[in-house]
Amino acid sequence: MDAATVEERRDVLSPDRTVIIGNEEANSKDAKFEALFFKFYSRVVRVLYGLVGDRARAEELASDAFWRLYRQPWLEQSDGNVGGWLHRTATNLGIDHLRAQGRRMQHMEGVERAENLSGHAANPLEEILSAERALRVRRVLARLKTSHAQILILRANGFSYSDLAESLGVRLGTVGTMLVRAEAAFQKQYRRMYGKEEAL
Amino acid sequence: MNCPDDGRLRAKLDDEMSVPESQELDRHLAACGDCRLRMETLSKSAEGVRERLALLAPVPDQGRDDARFSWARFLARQRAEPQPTSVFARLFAARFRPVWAAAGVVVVLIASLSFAPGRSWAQRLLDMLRVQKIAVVPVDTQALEGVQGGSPSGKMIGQFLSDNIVVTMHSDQPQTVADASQASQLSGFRVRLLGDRTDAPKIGVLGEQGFQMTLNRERLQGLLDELGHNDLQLATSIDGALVAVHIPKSVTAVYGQCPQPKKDDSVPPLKPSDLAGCVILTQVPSPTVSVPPDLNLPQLATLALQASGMSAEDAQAFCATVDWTSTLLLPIPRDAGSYETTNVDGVEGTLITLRGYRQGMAGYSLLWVKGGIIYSLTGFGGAGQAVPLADSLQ
Repeated sequence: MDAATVEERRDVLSPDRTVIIGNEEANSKDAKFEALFFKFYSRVVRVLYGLVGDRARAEELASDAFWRLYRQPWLEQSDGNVGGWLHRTATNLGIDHLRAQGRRMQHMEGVERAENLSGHAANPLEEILSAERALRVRRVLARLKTSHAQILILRANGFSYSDLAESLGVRLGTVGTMLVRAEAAFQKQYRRMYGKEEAL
Repeated sequence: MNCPDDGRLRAKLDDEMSVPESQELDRHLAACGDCRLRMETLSKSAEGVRERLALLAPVPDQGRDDARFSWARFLARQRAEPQPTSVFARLFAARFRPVWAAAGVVVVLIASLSFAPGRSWAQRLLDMLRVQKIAVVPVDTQALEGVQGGSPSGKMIGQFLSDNIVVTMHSDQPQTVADASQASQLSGFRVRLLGDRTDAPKIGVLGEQGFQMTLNRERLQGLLDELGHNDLQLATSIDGALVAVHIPKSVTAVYGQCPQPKKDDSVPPLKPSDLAGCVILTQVPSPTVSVPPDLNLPQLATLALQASGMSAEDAQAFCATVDWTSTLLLPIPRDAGSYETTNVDGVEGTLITLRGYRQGMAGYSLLWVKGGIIYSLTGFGGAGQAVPLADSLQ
């Protein structure tokens, strides 16, 4: 597709809405899928990047999420909540990745830390500490129930309560309660893992 | 008003309440010291967590160039991989049905073996299982793909299998033959073709295949843990047990224009009207599976099916109807289509009707076992044509 088409599509599709485009915009599955890709890709990568801390990995996981979307038999007919499905799937993949990396992270943290540093920080010590703190947060998230980790990640990425309800497939009225429980679980896990070293 | 629950206080903190509701809560908070205190505690907790999670904030988005680049990469990936939109697609992707089918047997057996109860078994091969019947089992692919509930992806299982399976006999290029008699001669069994089709099929004979797997208890347990089944503990006696599969030579006859297993840029994509004539007939003598003796297959299979997303009751009911020593289990995604048993070729067969494949065309796959040979007939269009076509085999 050429640049002009991309431009046009992106203008038409508000990047923050999770409503699938109508049939007049895309008549076939492929066209529909392409429009969805451009609509949601950047946001999905952003959420995953924050979660896994590695841009290349985030793009790979985003690609996996879109690949799964492409394979959904309902994609052709459904005008459903595609954005919600994508974010739920992407965060699940991200959390799975963190869990799978769990053991490796214990051995590799020094290397990962070095990889993630920019090398241009005004205060290298502060950058190292900050990377270490981020790593701890990821480890804690990896130990939480998926639903808890998911809601915390999406909320931290600016999802409103109605976005969260839509993405996680829950009633709007229960989002506050879910957040409270997820935060309590996060704190408890953080204290269990790092309580001796720092206070939350 | 009564004291609000934590969820409502949390929504108030996030300004996620309607104005009247928020005002009502304000009035309550002004009068209720307990709730003010709870609100303060919640606020502190939320702020603490928010600060932690803010550490994960990535650099600002790099914009549309990335999306365009990624779209190009995605298209390349789409071209490189077979189109696994449905079981139908996978049947084509695998192209040679017996390989795919045997993989199903192996997956189920491995999954079953991984739940082995605490008994010791001799390290000798005893049972040679042969397929006499096919049973379809609907599986919840989301449970395996990790879309919901945090279970990990099928990728992990795939990785596990590829790490542990040793291929003992391999053949990936079929030998093209001119007709049924040549195919029969090469394969060692009487090959049949569709009498109702007057066009000449492309016939290929694929060599024998064999693979085996030595069970590694530690890795299996790790896989189970990752799958969220850490409540199931594997018996130490399964460590080192051997499962072996042997697939005899198979014959595939392709009628009309059919999709290639992989997209090929040099060939223009097929239109739905082209695909209407596509039929793929595969026949293979039953694969054999050698497993350690004394396996309680129904019990183990019940557990394995639960791991793939089936409820305990459904799994039990399903397994009660299956003779595990002679039944090939064919997993199909729950949402991919429907299936029914039907009379075909003088025996009982299974007809799977698949919903939209490419260009929204429906498809079917008919499977049956007769005289020790497994047959599969796969095509586009209405499933109604499957049985008459199969009955015309000669």
